Amino acid sequence: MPWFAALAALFLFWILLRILDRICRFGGSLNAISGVLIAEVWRRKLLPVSGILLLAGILVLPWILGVDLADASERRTLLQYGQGWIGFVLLVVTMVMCCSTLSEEKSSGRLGFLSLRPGLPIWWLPGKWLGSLGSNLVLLIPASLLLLTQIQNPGSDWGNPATVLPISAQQFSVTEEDVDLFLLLKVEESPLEWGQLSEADAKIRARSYLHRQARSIPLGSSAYLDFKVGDDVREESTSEEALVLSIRPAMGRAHRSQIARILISGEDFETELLVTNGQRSELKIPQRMLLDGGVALEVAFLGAVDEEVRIPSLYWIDEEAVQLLVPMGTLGGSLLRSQLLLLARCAFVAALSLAVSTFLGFPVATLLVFCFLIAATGGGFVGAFEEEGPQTMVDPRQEASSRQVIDLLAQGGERIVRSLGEWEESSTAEQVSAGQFVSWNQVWRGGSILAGLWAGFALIVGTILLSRQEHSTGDQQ
Amino acid sequence: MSESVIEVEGLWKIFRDFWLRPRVRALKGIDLTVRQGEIFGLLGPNGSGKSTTIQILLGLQFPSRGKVSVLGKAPGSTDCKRRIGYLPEDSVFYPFLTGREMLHLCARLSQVENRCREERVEQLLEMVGLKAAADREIGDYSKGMQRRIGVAQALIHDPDLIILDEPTNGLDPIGVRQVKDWIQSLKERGKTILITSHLLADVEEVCDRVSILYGGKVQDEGAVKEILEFDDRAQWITSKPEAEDQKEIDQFLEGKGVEVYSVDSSRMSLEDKFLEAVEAARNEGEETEGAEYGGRLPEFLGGDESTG
Repeated sequence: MPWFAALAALFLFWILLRILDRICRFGGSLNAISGVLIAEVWRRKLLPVSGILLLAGILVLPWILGVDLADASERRTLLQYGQGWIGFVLLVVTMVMCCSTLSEEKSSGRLGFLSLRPGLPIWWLPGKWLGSLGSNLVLLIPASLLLLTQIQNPGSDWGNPATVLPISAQQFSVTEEDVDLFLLLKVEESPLEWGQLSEADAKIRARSYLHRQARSIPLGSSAYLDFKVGDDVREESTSEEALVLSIRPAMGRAHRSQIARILISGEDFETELLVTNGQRSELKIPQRMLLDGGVALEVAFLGAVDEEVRIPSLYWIDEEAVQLLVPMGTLGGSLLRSQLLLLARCAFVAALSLAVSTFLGFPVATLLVFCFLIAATGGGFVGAFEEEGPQTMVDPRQEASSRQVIDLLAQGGERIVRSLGEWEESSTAEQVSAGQFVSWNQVWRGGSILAGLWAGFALIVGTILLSRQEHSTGDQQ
Repeated sequence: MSESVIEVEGLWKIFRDFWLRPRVRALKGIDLTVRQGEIFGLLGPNGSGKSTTIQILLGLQFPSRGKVSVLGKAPGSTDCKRRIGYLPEDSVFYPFLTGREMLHLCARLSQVENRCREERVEQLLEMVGLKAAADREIGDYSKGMQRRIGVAQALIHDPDLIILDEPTNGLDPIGVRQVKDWIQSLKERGKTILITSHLLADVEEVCDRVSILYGGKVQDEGAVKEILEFDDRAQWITSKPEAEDQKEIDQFLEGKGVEVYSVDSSRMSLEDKFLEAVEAARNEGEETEGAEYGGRLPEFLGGDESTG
């Protein structure tokens, strides 16, 4: 059966390529250039070889991983590795395809020769970019379908399971209004301590205090957790499926084997739960708790199970430490949206590769884009600039005019890096394999920033560079 | 006097290194005028600046100094590109495309209307004798076949100015003859043609005027007949006289004070002999996998059909 599915996927791959080839035969310069790229990667065997590799990899993945497909958690492992394999092959193919095509055309003089045709410099890069997107789509569709069939093997009743949407507690987000209100109270309460601070310093301290307060529950006390569930989520979530509270508490310096008791209660619901330090625990919440605005719960910290151990407080390290999992959508849908985000990432790499190869040769251009991929996948962009947090110190020299230009540049750079951080955030493969819902909003955001904003920027820069260059129609230069 | 199609005045091209220091002075103030409807030859040894001049005329490279006008416009403008056909010296076609696909690509990039594209491609394939090899990848073509597809692509959008860089390079004598015939036919249809070639005999045969470049400067320029004519020599081609008659002729000429430099038997050219042999083999029904005999120029060249 898997062999049959793989052959069917290969056939689909070929059919899609034929369709794409047909589409490229119509229209003007843009389509013509796209068609040439597709013919190039097909006839130079890059596309067939990578297609066969991609499908063969997915086919043998269960055997390599040694997973038992009857087990749901192992199927998730296969899903995760499968998506990783598809992403890897697609990104590498995109990079090689886009870096080689333009640099070879430049060095052979073909670009100079073809740029003698009217209107071409404008369409050259976008045409190649669309061609690479088409090639990616031809690889992505059969590979994703094959992966789905691998997971939904007929021996299991897994079908197309529901996914969940994780919602963080409202208390974790500290707004400007919260800070202002807190400051107002504090200044009135202890004017000597808070009233002496400058406004900026006071706000930083207040925010820091509120952050700590929102995330910890001292021994013997309780905290409220409000989960706001949007209308669209309430409409889509199926009433048969229960809500799940997923928590991962931290217990300070206590050993990670320590177990604590917490009491979770709602309107007509109360249950005690044993939680382990740093481990995730799940608790089913009745569907009736989902009211108009969302779900409201109270969490009380009752102390360690071992009476000899004293744990002063329990706290949540990040927003993901406490989440309400609301059933929403299906795995198939989430996988589809996740693959669209992968396509957006490929679109960005394609544009970047094309722009870089307008002024660099194939090996150097590939190396440069490869370095970019390493930085991006390693989370380099996300971690490069930490958000302005409570510890941020105000530099007194900041007011100096000589610093202002540098600061302005630094802020601009920070914005760019933050925006590029979308690269990391648009990687939803883990979300899908964890059974989480991938929303259209994520696709829209990732697609517009990576495939729209950044790819567009790279293509415009590349086109300008290309139009400013001198060309030749041979190797005489 | 005919309208000028190409006007070059004091053209300099200096190639600079990364630090903008002059590296090569390829052109040193050349002047050039090509008139409408003429066949103009640009001659010169390797490195004399022919290719650089052509690249500047095509708008691929920018002049360092001087004025350049092609078809009344700045080189590289869209209007200019629509009206220029170019055959490059090197084969720069996609090796993985077939001959037919390459012509379709060039037609689409030149904005040739869909309704006449198919017809033009087939007519040009017929003309260059590649109809049977049209669906083979260009990478599998011989050098001569690649030149033929190059000629076809240069004409696909019915250009007014045709620039041919070494058009007969790599062609067999049949191909050379055909290219020369096409060039003459194109001229008759009002096209302007600029040729560069090292094969001076070919240039001499087809060109109306030539310019000889050396060291980035124009060394000589003028009509072929004028610059090659000896003012003090003459040539008769007659039927072969008897030996005794020839003596009498020599004596008569000596008596008139005419100096005879050489007297030879008139011979057939090797090109004519080659064409005769191949024609004979073809008439006997010999088949070939390579390029076939091409045909005449298609009707659309020089016609009124728009290029879109």
